[in-house]
Amino acid sequence: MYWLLCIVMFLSHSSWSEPFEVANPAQSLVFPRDHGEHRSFKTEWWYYTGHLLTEDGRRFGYQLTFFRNALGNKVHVSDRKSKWATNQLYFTHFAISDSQEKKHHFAERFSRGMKPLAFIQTQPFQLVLEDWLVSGSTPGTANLSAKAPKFEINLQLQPKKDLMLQGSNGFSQKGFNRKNSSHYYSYSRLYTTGQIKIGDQKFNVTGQSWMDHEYSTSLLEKSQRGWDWFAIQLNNQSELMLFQLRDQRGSYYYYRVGKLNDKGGNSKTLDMSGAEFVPISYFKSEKSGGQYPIKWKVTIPKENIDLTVTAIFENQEMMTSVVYWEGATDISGQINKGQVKGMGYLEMTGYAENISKRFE
Amino acid sequence: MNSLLGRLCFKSLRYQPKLLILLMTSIAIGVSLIVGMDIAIQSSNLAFERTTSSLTGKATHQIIGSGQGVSDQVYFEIRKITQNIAPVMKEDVYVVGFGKIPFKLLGVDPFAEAPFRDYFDSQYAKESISIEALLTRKNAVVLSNTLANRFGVRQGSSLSVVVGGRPFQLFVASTIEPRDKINDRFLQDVIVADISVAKELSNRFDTLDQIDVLVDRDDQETLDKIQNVLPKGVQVVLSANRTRTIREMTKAFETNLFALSLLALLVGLFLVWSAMSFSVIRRKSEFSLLRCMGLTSKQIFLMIAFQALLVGLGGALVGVLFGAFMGKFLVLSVSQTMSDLFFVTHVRQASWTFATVLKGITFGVLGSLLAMLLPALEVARIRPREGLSLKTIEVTQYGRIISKCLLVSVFVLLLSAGLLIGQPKSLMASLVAALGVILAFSAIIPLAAWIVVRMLSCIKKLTVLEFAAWRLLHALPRTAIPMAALMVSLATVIGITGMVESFRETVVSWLDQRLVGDVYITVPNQGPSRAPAVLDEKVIAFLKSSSEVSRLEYLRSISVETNLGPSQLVAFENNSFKNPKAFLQSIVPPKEVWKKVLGGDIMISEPLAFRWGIKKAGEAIDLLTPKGWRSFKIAAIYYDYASSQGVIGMSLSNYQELFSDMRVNAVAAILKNSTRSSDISTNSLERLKSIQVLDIKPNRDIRSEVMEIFSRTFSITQSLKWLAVFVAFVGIMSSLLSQTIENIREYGLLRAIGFRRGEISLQIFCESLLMSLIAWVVSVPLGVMLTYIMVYIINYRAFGWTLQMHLDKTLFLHTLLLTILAATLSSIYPSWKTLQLRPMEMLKLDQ
Repeated sequence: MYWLLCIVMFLSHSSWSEPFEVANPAQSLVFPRDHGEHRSFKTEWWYYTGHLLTEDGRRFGYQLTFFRNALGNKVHVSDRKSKWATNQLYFTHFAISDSQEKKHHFAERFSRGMKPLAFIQTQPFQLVLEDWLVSGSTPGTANLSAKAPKFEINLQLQPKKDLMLQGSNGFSQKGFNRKNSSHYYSYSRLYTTGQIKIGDQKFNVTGQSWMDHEYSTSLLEKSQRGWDWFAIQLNNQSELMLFQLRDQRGSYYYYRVGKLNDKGGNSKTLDMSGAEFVPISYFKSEKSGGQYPIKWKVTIPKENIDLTVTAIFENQEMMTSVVYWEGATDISGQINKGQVKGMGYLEMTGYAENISKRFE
Repeated sequence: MNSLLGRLCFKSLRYQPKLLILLMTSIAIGVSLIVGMDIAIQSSNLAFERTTSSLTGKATHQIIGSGQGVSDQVYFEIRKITQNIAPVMKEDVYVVGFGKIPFKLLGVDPFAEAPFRDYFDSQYAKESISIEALLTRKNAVVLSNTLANRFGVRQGSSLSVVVGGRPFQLFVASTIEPRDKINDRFLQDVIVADISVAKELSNRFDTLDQIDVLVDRDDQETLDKIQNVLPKGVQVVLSANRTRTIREMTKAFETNLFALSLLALLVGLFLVWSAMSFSVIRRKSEFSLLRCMGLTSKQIFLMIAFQALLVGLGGALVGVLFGAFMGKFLVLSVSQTMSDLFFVTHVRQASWTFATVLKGITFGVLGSLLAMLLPALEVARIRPREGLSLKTIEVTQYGRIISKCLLVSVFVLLLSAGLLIGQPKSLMASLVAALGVILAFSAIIPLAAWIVVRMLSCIKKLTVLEFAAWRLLHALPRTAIPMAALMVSLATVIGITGMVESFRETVVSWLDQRLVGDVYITVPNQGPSRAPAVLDEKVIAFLKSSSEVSRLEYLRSISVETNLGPSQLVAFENNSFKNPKAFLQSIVPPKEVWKKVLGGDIMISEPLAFRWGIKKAGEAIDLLTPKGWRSFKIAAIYYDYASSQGVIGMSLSNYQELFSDMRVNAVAAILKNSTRSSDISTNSLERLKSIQVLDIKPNRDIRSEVMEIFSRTFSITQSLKWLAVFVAFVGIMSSLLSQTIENIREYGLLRAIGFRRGEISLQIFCESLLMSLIAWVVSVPLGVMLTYIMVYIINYRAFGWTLQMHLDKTLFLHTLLLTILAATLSSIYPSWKTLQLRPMEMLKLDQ
């Protein structure tokens, strides 16, 4: 396991001599080109999360994320003859949350960026890390398949809405310094069917997925410790993406962003002044020592949003090379005084370790 | 034992410091031999473990190809079936300025490594390792801190190396502190690099040397799936089987080391026995006095035993320290031999365990107790007054001793012969039998002494010598043992020299047969563990076009899988096999063997036939070729001394067709003008060397190089041989010294009746010379016999080599001179000691 840790340590110790590109607000996203990878940026990910139900109502959450990380210094690689030489590292996180058993299954894989071991292809769209793969015409219209020793998924995704550009036209600022930002878009509602398997049990499932694609070179400032990210799909057919960045004091508010995608697919940046994300109850991980809020009160007064986000069960911690909590949640509350319900995915970083060090 | 007796023990030892030193020295030498050899064997074991564990890791299986490795594509396919696989590249790396033993470059994929090798699974490593540099930098490597210190480099430094004959500058991307000492030791031979770097350094871009696999024992399903995607010429093998093959190769070497340590034990035991019996018998008047004072036989016995225990313990402790020191040198020798013969190793530390120390101490104490047993029983049996009278014991007993020893000798000889015949294959049995023969001859010493004395007494006018002879005969219980020790040492010298000489002669005549080229061109310094590097095509092209060259002969050497295990396959187009002496046996007349080989048969070398138990030419072996498994008939078994592991010989044209591989590892150039002492012009040399770093050697240089490796291989044997001589010399001297001390009163008497100082010295020298000569007389037949056993039995059983026995007669003369030298040197101190005293003092001393 330490090998993997060592590998991830490069994130904090990289000393690339050739500068990477930083996100630029003037640069608009062009598709399908920007579905693919952007090697001129240091970090990139394609995030699939979703909620799946069996015919008899058993609920599962899943996550399948492909990360790409550049190991800096392109100059050195261009000098190399072996096709195994690379400065691209890919790693994938795969998890299933079983609400009935209250069990969180997770796995992680690493590979050097090298065809056919691990690579990203734009057209037709492919994310490949050995036999874990996403393939389709776009990231939204795609098949997902991954098989860990004790669990696997095989899902087909179909977008119900067009993709949503996050931030300002896909430029998502992560703090007060514009340097710390990313290019970011989402498919916020993907109709999902397929099978999952846990142990020897197979389940036919249907549900909703969410896909994020984000790339950047610098995400967090030194004073930031981590983030809380919410992907919320409501029964009024709207979706909300919210995140807050926390500073080194942990719970203190630092920077908050929200975006609403309405039933018709029109998105709107939310006015977050006066907004509060208040932790209500916590889960303390015995393995990592991290204390994660697993129930939140989210209020955005200017937008008349008042929601409660509750994890479907406590322990959905990813004990991977980077330790974080990523899991399915239930949503209830009011928007514009109308009752809403929904399902969400919550990601919390920086509780077990200082995540900003990995992005210095 | 009561306290009075205890005090007596200590005091009697304290008042005889010289005797105490003599006893302890004898024991210390014996123990140090045991400890030294044990350390050498331990280091051989360690070298083996390091090689296998550092490279095999925790893999349960390995996927290997037919000589040219496994295609990358196979790895990618299997990666989809299971993630518990890891690609591996291995290459020999010569670090400039660090000698001729290569280091092992281990190319791995850091992302696939975790389940296999855990060098970096360390809290220390994670801070310092730079995966970024390891993956992206050209020629980046990781070294353990210990290795980095040895090379004098640190993170960010560069390291000059030669790989496959081409120079490179390695970039030290990281140095790591391995998790524990075991890993640290493993990493002392190994330079770790990313697989991409290893591929670039080895110039093999599309293949892997092997794929390591970790599969549960009962997971046949995964194994089957893997099997299904493997192309022809690639197979899954159990890691343990491959490790076992290397183990078997080194085992014979270790057994021989063990045999040397047994010999050391025997010589050491002789020494302790000799010293202990002297000590006991010398003090018999003291014991008689004690008996007169009322001590029982049992108490006397216990007292001697207790003293033996004390002396044994003291001597053993000193011996362990000596041994540890000696072990340091032996380890270097063992390490070099292992690298020459089996696999690359840089084991330098003398690794000694508690068990080694315990073994040494146990040997010292038990040996000393065992040695005192007979004399102590004898002394304990004497009646109170008896011991006070002079020399009653020895004078009356030599006849009985001779007959008893003769019986023992015949019995042991028969037993040894039985063992040799009854166990026709066992190496251990032949070694034990050799020791038996040594023991049997040792037991002949009293008889030999008696015969020599009888012969001397027939010759008149030899008063001094005859006198010395009779004194020697009467003191047989004391003198026989050091004589036996010297005899064993001399026989060892004859035996080992004879064996090494026979080996040398055989190899020289084999080289004459086989070296047909004038100049040989290879990539330099190839380690024994893998197929040598390939010659650049431009080198071949240049040679072909050279006006100096009349003809070229090519050789290709690869590792190949067979149904009997992995082996080296050598493909050549050599005419030397026309010589009928080249073959041990063949299915057709020797002159037609090559035709058969050209027709598709193979030959195997004698050591391989021995190792695989192939008794007759005509049997078949299956080889894994890129076209799948193929069966080959063995047309002949041929003599070959190039490899103790054995090789399969094939014609180059057949190889090229079967393996679709046109590369070669060596070229023999037959020059147009061979009168020019087999050299090619400086111009050509420079042109060739600008293409690739090459070893371009005239025929004669190859011979001297083979001989150099040869001498290195036997250096440990040679050093042990001289050690045995030294031990025996000390034995003779200590025995003479004791005898002189004991007989001092007698010498005083001789002086008193008119003997001059010179005559006394002559007397002592004659005794010494006689003892040595008797030892030499017996050592000659034993030496010849040992040579025979080593050449025809032990060597064949250990390595599968048939050697021609060759014993130079001057060797006997040399050992005779050595004997006389030993006699002279060992008589100097006792003579000087005697001459220091006046006759009256001498007469008083013994009272």
